Amino acid sequence: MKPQEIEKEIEKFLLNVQKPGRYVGGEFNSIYKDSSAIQTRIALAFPDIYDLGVPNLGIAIFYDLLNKLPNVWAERVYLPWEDMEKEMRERNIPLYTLESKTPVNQMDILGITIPYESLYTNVLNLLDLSGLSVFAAERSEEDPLVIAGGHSTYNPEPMSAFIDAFVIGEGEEVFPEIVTVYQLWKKQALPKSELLYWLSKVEGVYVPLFYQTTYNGDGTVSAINPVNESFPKRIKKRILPILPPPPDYFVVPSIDVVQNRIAIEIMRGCSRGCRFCQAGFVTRPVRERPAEQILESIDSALSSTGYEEIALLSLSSSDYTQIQTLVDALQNRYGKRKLNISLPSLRIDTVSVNILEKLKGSRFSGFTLAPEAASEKMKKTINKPITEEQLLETAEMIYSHGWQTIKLYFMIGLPGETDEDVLAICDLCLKVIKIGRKYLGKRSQLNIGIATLVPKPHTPFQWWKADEPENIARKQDLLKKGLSTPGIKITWSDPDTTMFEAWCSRGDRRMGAVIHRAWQLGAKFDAWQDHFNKEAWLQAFSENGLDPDFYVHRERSKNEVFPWDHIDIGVTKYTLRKEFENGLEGVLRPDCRTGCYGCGINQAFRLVQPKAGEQKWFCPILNFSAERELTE
Amino acid sequence: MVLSDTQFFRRKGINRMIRCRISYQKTGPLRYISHLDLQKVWIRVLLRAKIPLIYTQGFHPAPKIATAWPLPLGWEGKNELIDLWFDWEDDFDTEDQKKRFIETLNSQSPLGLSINSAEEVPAYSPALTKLIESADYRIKTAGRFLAEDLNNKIHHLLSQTSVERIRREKRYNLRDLIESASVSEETDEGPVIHVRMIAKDSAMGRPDEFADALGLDSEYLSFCRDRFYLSIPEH
Repeated sequence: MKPQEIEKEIEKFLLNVQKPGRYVGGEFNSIYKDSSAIQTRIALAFPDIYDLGVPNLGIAIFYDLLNKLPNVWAERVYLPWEDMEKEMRERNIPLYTLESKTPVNQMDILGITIPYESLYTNVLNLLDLSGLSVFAAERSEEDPLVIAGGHSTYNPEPMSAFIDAFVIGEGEEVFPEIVTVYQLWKKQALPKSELLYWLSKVEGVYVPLFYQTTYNGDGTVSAINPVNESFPKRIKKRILPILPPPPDYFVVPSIDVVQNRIAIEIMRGCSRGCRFCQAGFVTRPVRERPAEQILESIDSALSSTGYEEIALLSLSSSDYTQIQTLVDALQNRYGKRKLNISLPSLRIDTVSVNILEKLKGSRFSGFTLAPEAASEKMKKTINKPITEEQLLETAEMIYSHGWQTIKLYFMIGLPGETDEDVLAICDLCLKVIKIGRKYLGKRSQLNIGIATLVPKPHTPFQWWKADEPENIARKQDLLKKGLSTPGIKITWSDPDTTMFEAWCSRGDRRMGAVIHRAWQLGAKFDAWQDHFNKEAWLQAFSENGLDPDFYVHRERSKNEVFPWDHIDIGVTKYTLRKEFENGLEGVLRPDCRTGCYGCGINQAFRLVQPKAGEQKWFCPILNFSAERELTE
Repeated sequence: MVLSDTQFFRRKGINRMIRCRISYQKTGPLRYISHLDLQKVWIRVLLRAKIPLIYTQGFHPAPKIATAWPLPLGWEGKNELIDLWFDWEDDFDTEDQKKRFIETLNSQSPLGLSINSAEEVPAYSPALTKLIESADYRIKTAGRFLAEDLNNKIHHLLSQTSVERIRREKRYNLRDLIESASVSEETDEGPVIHVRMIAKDSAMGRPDEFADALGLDSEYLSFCRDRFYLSIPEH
């Protein structure tokens, strides 16, 4: 179908679908180019609906970055909601790019961001709606090159049958390199296998076609090896020595989306080492963006978008060394404007309350704190030691200043957890609400979010198992009973969707068949709570002779080969194992800025680190003797 | 003491409050943006254009803008109207100043929003919806109907004194809301219906209701609002 035909076809039914504004493009700051002057056409896809896709920072970064290349046009693609999908399928309208309405299968490169695992079936649906075969091996020479990145791809194996090449790590340098390689390849009219071979030579690119997995008799992985010696045994993630400046332009949707705001990273990486946190390990080393650059970006983004809300993102805002400078400057510059600034992931202390007090806009509603654990034992297990006094003092300050709502996040299903540890959450929350009542009486509100641990790849807890659904349900009941008091509201994650998240994130190459079958059986939009189709997934497992419990409820032996072991995040497996054992023994590991414990990151990137120059990583610079000591 | 708006703005240091009436087009992708979302689109255009907007009083201050009758989703508008209030240091009456103002707004607008003109109107004149007396609509028929048939149907409908309709469970007389209607033959799009609908009792006659009363299948129709007719306010 030609773009004009698509445009004409969709006009016939757009008024019958919800929010037709999702499907028409034309937003301010969206980029239109003359396609006749373009060498490479790229579709950047977020595999969920427009409303969730537009605020995605990854897409925003690459849209801005790739469109600065004069011979490249990057356009956006989101998944249609079910009503639109039905119309499109009935009328044989292929998935198209929002800007030019060109069918996705006519693009040169399709780049899909997969930030979380519950999008896997959506990725298949996206390929299928584009008129492409979902299997990489079945796509033709003319079909676009399909690449994927994002946090979930730190374990690329479950999706390896569907994606031509994965970007492991930070994509700001790799993506343009892939485009260059693609352009060189295209000029020479060579087969696609040649393109994939070339791409496998780009640092940070993983081409699953060139790797194979072997299994032990018990079903565990025995090895993942390249098919021959010309490919690296392990694929090291890519990082940038210095964070590049934030995007200059953000697409401003004309309809309401989940987050109508500018998102600016202030820091990448985290030195805290909470043992459940995948982001904390895979995004090392810590790199800060200079406060001056952040302020400039905010200024230009505000005037180029007209937004009145800004989110300053990082994994641990309080650790950003210039936080006070930044906050004071923001208050000076925007204090009089009707601007809402959010600064998530602040440490639990009174300094944070002061910071938030300075930033609060007119629509400021409440404080969110994430102690994650309540008992002393569990705090040590997860390596997040916030004392009870610290938390209560913070709560006292919040309520006494007249703010009515506090939100607390906790996690259950942790290694070595007993019912006592769970009940400690109740005790702590009751103490908090008591403080609220002291100051505000019945107006005080405490919202509690209870998550369940999913032992993620590349974290110390990767050796641990996910708690059984019956156990989770029982622990949730303990909390519900213990906290049924006025002013307290609890939300929790559904045990079934937790299991789903666990088997998708921990899967090996064989999971691909399960994902494919589940999708065939109708699984899609799994991240939407009412859409998760447990029966389809269980049927897909059993038809493929696989046991979901094998993936999630099994504690791993020390030497087990993980399906993601060929992906090198820089932090060594030795470090992760040591941290797991420390967790079980209740040994704390202080913030590594107070003393390097040799996690491996500065060794893995010792050639990149000097390029950081003035922008230190908070990591010691290694000489070669230190390197030998750190080798496993 | 309750302050009047003038007193309030003077206290806030606003010297010259301008109420500006803008005529704009809503076409292309913007047709699929609802009336409510369009207001947000407008506010962002104005913020990007750095127009010194005047904010409403109250706990959640919002820029002071006022729209005319909503345009239903999917319809084109060629001369839609919106009133804005802002604090302009400069004069706002030379053609050159207006031209620059319009250019600035257009450069900050998404695809499908384009500004035709801007005029200062008395700050305390009645609201747009009070001033609007009628509006011209065009109904394109995609060549599905013959001009003669349409003419006959229109003639028949207009000859009646009462055309009872029910909309949102309310009974009303559609005939009272139709000022005139005619058919023209366009080169490649087939016959086009022109209808002038009347605004009355805080409601605006709807051309889709009119088309439905003619017995036309809405699937083949597309609607466009060409212009509003405003009464001259009394001073």
